[in-house]
Amino acid sequence: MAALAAGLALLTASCGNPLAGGAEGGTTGDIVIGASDVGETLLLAQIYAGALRNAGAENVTVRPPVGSREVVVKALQDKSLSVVPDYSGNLLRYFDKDTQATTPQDVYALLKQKLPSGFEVLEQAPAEDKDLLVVRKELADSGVRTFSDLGKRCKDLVFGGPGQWSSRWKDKIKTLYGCEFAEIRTTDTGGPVTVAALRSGDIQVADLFSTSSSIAANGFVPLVDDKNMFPAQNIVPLAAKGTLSPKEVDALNRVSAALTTDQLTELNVRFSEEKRNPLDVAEEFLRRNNLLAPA
Amino acid sequence: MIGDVLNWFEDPAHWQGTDGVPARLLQHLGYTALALVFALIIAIPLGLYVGHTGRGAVLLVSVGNAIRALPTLGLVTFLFLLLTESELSTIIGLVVLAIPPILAGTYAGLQATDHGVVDAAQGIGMTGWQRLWKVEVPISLPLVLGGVRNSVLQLVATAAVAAYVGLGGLGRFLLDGLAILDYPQVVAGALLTTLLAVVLDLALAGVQRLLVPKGVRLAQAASGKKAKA
Amino acid sequence: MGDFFAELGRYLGSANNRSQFFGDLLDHIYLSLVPLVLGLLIAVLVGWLGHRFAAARSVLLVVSNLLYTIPSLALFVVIPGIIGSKILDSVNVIVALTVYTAALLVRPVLDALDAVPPHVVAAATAIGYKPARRFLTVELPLSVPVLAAGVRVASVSNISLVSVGALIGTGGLGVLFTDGFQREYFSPIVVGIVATLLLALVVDLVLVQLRNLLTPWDRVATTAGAK
Repeated sequence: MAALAAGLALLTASCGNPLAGGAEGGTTGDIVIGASDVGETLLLAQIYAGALRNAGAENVTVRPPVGSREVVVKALQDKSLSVVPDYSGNLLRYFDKDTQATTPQDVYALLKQKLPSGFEVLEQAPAEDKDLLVVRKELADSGVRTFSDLGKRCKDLVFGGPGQWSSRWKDKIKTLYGCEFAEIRTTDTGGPVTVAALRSGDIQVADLFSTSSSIAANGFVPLVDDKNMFPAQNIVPLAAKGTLSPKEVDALNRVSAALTTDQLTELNVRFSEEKRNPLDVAEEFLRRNNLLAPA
Repeated sequence: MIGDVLNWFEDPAHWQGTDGVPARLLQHLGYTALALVFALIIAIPLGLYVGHTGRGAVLLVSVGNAIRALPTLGLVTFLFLLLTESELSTIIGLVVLAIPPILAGTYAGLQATDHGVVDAAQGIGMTGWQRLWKVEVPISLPLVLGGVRNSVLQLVATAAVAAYVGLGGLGRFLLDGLAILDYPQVVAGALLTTLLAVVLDLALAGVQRLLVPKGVRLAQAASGKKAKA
Repeated sequence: MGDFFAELGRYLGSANNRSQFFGDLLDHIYLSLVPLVLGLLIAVLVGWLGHRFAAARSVLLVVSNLLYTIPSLALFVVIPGIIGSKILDSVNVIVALTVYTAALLVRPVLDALDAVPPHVVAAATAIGYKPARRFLTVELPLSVPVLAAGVRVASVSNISLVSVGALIGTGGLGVLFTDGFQREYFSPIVVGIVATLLLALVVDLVLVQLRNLLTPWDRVATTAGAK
């Protein structure tokens, strides 16, 4: 009995934890790609993984989604993750809350400046996935087409979005558009809870994402951000410094160069509407853009 | 860290509005209570029937075990996709998970009643109903209430997880705080949820003391001592 | 309904889906069984303390009861702060489930040790067994049936709780639930639920076999009685 217990303990101890693993990267380390709570980042992570493997990196793994940017940044800092797909505008605002930059070029330039040591961003993709304020058709038909239109009606409307939306945008939307919602409710990050709540009318305004397939699928109407509250959001790989070799950086840059908004939207349809496996979708993307050919 | 958590609790903003502690606490309590009521309505009669008549016992035990093995997160996400409504799907999931402990407790309680006592009751002319309510139920009360206590713990824990599919309650502090690594909020949520579970458990222990007839308690204490001697 | 089965077919038809599923399954097995073993070892140790020192006994029962009352998600999220692990480390789930398993098994260990007939203990001492040897070779084996019942409950509980770990970024079958939920996709969720149930069943059967293996005297007694 004792022997059995001791034997089992020894066995488990020696096996080690298959789930542990650093992500120090470099020429001999593992590369761990993470994803945030935005659904498509898992897909983008698989695309990065495919490109890196093709560039000769061994031991590339993709972790399941971990949480919002706060978690991702912390994970990159303690090297639990090597690289994560992120969004230029929100990433910049994370490190510089009061930034006024809105165009893709301005945002990217400032981002490179404001990024703390220990992090680096690779080249950004032309593809953007911006926050959208979305309403149901009935509300849109009643004359709410832009954020400015919305501003006047906000006090009668309930908003639903990610938990962190309030701290990020509540003040800005009030300053720019005079909008103070009757209630700001936490639903989720552009996911099924938000969609269901908007569909049922529990909320009247939702924060969804421009490449999300659920907007068109549900007949929702995105409002026009006439005063550019939401900055440019180009897809950009955020990496822990020193985890990627030049060859690997190059591979990811080529992925970014090939990624356009239309392609990203199409990828989202394959992933979320057609429910295809992200590895399969990633592989198709890489193949279609000749990114699987030897470098 | 402890200082940060205390600061979180001292901040008055955290005690007001739909996101405040009282609102979330009441929501959580509400879901637990509602699910408990439904679970009691379903599980106790069922357990009494199977325990009293002995029919369907094997089926009961198997189904009960199977439901206990159901993964919480799987159940709530499945129900949400089916019903696309946070609250309804969660309540159904909570009721389903709350039934097995109560069922098991009721059935075990009836099973544990000494056949000699039941026999004696029949001997002095009690009808089936009388035997059930005057003899079997009071004797099995400790085990039944034990099942209810288990159930309540399960409910409090599961309702916290259901915040993932958009439910309110104390789980919101846990998940929303975790999403942005607001550790004071996360710890506050963990403390509140644990406190709720402990308080409810103690309350039910108190109810157990009140409801279980003195004679039954003494008898069980005596038989407990005999086994140890 | 037919749509669902078609979707399930497509889900299972993808090789990548299948290999990801098996990876998640293996992670899940690791995450639920390691705490089972560790928790049992701790419970036996702690139970021995409670059995030996009456003062410790009531304290241990109260503490283990309290620990078991802590809601699962609450325990998962505070452990990184307590043990200083990285936030994404799966060790958080292992530690939390070990705590639960140990808390659950302390009472059965105490009950089982209490139930060992005193004359057996006396006989062992009489033929010269030192306390340690007596504990390991006499009292503990006799406790196996009661312990096994507790371990079976703990195993079902662990297997079910590991999937909650997906909410703190851990692997295991829980990933199927969060992925399915995010994409409004039934198939991974159903596959995950069925796999969890089957896993619980298989582990339970294995534990029953293990228990029977460790208590050969029960079988001998029955055959002797039958004669």
